[in-house]
Amino acid sequence: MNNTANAVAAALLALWFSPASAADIDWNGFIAQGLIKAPGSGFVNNSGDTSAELTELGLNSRLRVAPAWHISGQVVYLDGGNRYPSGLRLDYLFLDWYFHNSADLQANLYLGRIKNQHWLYSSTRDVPFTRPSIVLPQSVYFDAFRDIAVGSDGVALQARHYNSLGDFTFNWSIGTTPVSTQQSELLLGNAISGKLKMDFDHQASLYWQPDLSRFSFGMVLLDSKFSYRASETEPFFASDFSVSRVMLNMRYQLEKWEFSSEIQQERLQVDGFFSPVFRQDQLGQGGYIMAQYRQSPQLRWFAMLDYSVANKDDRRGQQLSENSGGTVPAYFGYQQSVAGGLSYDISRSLRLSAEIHWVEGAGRLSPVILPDVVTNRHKYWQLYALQLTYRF
Amino acid sequence: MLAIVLSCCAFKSAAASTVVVNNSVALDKLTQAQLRSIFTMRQIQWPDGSPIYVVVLPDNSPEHQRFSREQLRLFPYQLANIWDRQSFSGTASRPQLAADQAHMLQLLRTTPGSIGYVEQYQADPAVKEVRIE
Repeated sequence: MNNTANAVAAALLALWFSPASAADIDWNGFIAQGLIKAPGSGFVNNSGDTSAELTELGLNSRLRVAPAWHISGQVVYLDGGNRYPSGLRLDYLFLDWYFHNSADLQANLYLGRIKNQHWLYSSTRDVPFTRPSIVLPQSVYFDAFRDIAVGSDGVALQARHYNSLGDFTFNWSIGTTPVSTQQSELLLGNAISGKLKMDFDHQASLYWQPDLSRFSFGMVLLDSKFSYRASETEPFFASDFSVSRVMLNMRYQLEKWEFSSEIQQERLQVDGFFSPVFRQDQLGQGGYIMAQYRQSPQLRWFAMLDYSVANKDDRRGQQLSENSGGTVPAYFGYQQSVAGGLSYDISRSLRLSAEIHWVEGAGRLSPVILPDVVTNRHKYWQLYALQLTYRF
Repeated sequence: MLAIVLSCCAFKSAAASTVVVNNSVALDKLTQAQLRSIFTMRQIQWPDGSPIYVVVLPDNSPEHQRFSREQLRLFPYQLANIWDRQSFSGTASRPQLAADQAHMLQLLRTTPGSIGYVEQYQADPAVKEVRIE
């Protein structure tokens, strides 16, 4: 992390002192602080008390180094309690080559620490005013996977094409993400002492907006692999995990109303970990549908239904509970929620957001592999969040 | 009656946006799809490879709202969301913001490669109108 922070500082200082003209450099940032409470679950903290662990700070810059070449970087500081690892991080720092420019086809190649451009809100999930709710639907934007899903160190391609059928955008990326100890514990459990590593993350997506239509449709394919090196002092074993996803999404945008939905099927394969011969291969499913209503240019409301199951053949978690000898309650096999909220733009740069989620189940509460049945002891729980965002 | 018709049409033509570029831009027409690619920052270079500088008015200005709906066929919030997502994921710069139409014209006159829009356009030696087909 120190190396990362040093690299960021050096890169941003280099950008700051570069001789480029004002038109060739762009700066943006945001400061967001909120209050969040999730009584009955360990979503934010173990006590369920009101917490200020809803902090998001970011500073980014984009520099034109030649007509077709840019360097973009962003540092963020996040504190989300149990939701994801807290602290300063290099969110992205990449070289952007705009290598094809014609009237109906434009294409870019990105190299470095790249953002996940594949899902509807994946590239800016930490930027409060670019997402529709303070807490994104966990079926798709599972917070425990945040650091892994937000981007990777590698290469990405984006091509945009226009023809009589409409606008097409194709994205492809391959890379790997460093997995911190805190991130490993969020995924596997607090009892581990070995080292989790991501071998690769490979994604492709295609978006289509029919000509002048209010609809847009997308499809995403994801394949990733992780390996775990167990330490000698723990009861777990060396293992391989692979996660693959197929996702479909749609958006329908009207003047006042906006509807969006993403659905996914995720295959989780575990080879090892609990014993050298342990094998698990299961298909999870999930998705959300969200409606937004812009009552005025300043005031926006939203309502959302979110649903996910860890194993599509065990939708109410009975089998999960039986397999654990009753130690893991059935409600860890799924999570479904109803949410509603609003955001109000006090000025061009200041926004206040508030929302409530009513949740059943603990299937999207970390850790994933060794569930925390002590903290997450309620089948039904709520989430309240209030956040003030300043942007510049 | 004739006066009413005339005033209505005069008003209509006065309110329509004209797409204007700096004189350095070697183009006199664009398709609506190209215009949308440029203002959504997907196309960032002119055909000769020089950078495109997009200039816009504030989201809440009536001129911007008319331009967005009529010329781009996008609601202003869609355009703002696209710019936010791009500028915070590092994939495009934000367009340059002009305070009002006079400022817009001043920026278009002085910035090579710039494109913007004005209502009630009057011929100007430093900028030129681009036809949208």
